[in-house]
Amino acid sequence: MKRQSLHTIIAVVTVLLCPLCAFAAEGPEASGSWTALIFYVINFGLFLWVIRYFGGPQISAFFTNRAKSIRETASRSETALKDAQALARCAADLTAGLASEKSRLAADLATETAFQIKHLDELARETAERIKRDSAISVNAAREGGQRRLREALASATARLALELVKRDFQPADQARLLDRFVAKLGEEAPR
Amino acid sequence: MRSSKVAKRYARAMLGLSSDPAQLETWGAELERLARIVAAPEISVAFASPEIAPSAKSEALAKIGEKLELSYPMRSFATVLARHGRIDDLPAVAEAYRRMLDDLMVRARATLTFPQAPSDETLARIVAGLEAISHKKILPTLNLDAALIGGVVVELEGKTYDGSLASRLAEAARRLAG
Repeated sequence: MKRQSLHTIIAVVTVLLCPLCAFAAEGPEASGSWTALIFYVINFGLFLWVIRYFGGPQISAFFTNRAKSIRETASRSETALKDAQALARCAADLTAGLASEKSRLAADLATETAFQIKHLDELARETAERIKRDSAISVNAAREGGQRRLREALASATARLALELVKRDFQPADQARLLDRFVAKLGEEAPR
Repeated sequence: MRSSKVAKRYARAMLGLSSDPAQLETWGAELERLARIVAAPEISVAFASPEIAPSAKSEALAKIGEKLELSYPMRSFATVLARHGRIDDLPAVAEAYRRMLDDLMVRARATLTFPQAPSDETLARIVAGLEAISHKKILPTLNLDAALIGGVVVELEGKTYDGSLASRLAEAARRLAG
């Protein structure tokens, strides 16, 4: 390929330089001549032949390749167009599906919301009942605690008073009576 | 637990040395005196000290025995205890000996707590009642506690018989409190 290009260049340069020799020669006063015309015609014909002979295949190959690549590009563009059209169709289908899904979800959401509201309502009722019950229990417990504390305080005060009274009025006869009872109780507990 | 078992073993050995009750009582009293001396804080610290040689401890115990004018068997018993490194267990041995001797003599010790000192007749009546319960001769120990106000509290063989007025008042207060 490289050698062929070299030949092409040499041929082009030769064809271009040959007329230059003729142009460089100092000629007679310019005047029309059949010989010169024929020379030019032949020269141009040679030029065309050389161009066709040496550059024809490369030019043909260039344009063939170029046409091929254009065809391939066109083919790819066509494929891409088809793909894009298919994608557009898919997108349209998807959009339609999403729309139906959206309406379905909206319906579900409405149902769920209604259910949750009902559930929350029931929970609120139960909680209110429970709070009511707990409050009643707490009130009862507080009342009973207060009564118990009051009983304990009264019992403590009574015991303290009783202790003071007993201490003040305790007589040896009382001690003798207590000991008699203790001995009698021991007698009851003694195994027969 | 181990110390208690050891004490019982030594006490049983000492009890086995004689069948004469009077002799056993004498040894019991001597053993208690010796145990009280050994249990005294300043002496027990010295006996527990590892810096004092066992032979010195044994010799010290023998001298204490001589000072207390203990009988020969008791001094020998103390020497055996010291030689076996059981001086610390002497109070436990005395306690075990006392319990075993009480069992042998069919008697029990009772602690009687009164608000004020009782008359002999009162004490005799209560002791008789306790003897009827336990079917044993009772050796009473008297305590005074004015907080009882009236009545008596008796501790006998691990049981408490509470006939005090303070307890009755406390029970009444508990019932009132519900």
